[in-house]
Amino acid sequence: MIVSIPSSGPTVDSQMDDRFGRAPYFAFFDTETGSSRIEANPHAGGSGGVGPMAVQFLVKNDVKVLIAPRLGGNADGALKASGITIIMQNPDVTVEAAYSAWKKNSENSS
Amino acid sequence: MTDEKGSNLPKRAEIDVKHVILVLSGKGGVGKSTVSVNLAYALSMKGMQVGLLDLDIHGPNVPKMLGLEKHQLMSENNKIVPVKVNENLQVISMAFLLPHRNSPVIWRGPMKSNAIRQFLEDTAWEPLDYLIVDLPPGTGDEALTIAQSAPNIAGAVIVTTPQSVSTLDSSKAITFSRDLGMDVLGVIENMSGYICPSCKNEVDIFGKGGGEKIADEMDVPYLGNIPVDLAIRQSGDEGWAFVGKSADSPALQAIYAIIDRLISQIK
Repeated sequence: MIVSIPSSGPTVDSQMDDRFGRAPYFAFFDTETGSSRIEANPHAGGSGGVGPMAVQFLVKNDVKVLIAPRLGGNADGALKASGITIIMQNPDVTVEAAYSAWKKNSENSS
Repeated sequence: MTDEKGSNLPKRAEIDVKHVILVLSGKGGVGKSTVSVNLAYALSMKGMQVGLLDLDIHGPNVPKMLGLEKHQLMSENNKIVPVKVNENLQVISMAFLLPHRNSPVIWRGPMKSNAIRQFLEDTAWEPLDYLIVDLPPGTGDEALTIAQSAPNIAGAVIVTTPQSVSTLDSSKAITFSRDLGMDVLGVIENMSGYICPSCKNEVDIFGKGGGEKIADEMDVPYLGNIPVDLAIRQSGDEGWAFVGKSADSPALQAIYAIIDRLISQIK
């Protein structure tokens, strides 16, 4: 399945971004193949409604889990409707580190 | 260069590059990316270590023009690894971060400036002889950010087509460069005349001589003109560098002559 994390830079070594809708990039990790990629968040610069647009972007990329620090009200609602699982995470780590921590955790609890 | 001591501007990026060349234009579609790609490729063929930085964030074309569309950006030791075209040529572009090719990038100035600084500073460039910077048309955030962030800027090359509407816009790019303390290395007139392949008649479909005229008016060097050549368009669409793979032609000779004149300006 695909896990996504908002990123402040264009690589998995970048710091997690502390926003969701306006994060400049999103990282996508495939738990089955172990592959990862980063994509620019297309609507980050929009004047409004960026939360729901970011959720659409995740849905388009088949995301099942989102690891994020905080979410605006509109994003929260849109995410609940989309069925994507939300994991809260302090953004003071790299994207790679956040994913590894989640993966370890999810393996421990399953 | 203007004295920057005590200014409030952010520090310049610390990368190992001898000469940074900005490729600017007033209007879009005049051939900046074509010039950037072929300039960078030609220098790499001469054995120089070249970086090609595609700063057109909204319409990044360099990867398509070099056949690199399927590539992604990897990272190593916290640095972005540029995509290698050959032993001597590395490329960075926003296009590598847009796998859905129809994805727009609806970003405002500050976000673009951040991305540009990341592409400059957080990239593991090899020690470079030249960094060629392909810019979007006009004199907006992208050009401003790179003009203020790049070290060792040799100067700006201005690309125009012959018609007055284009040269008028290019004069703004010339003034912009000067206002930011950069040398204007010269003007290139692209799409300068078309030679009919069957009757060999030359028709100046976009006019001719506007580039030389504006260079003269603004007192900057004129580097030369590139005629319309079907193979140049083809090379961009098919993803190969014109200078790397073409039979001899007036266009090829013109490009080489321009590159020689350009490089001789930088010493």
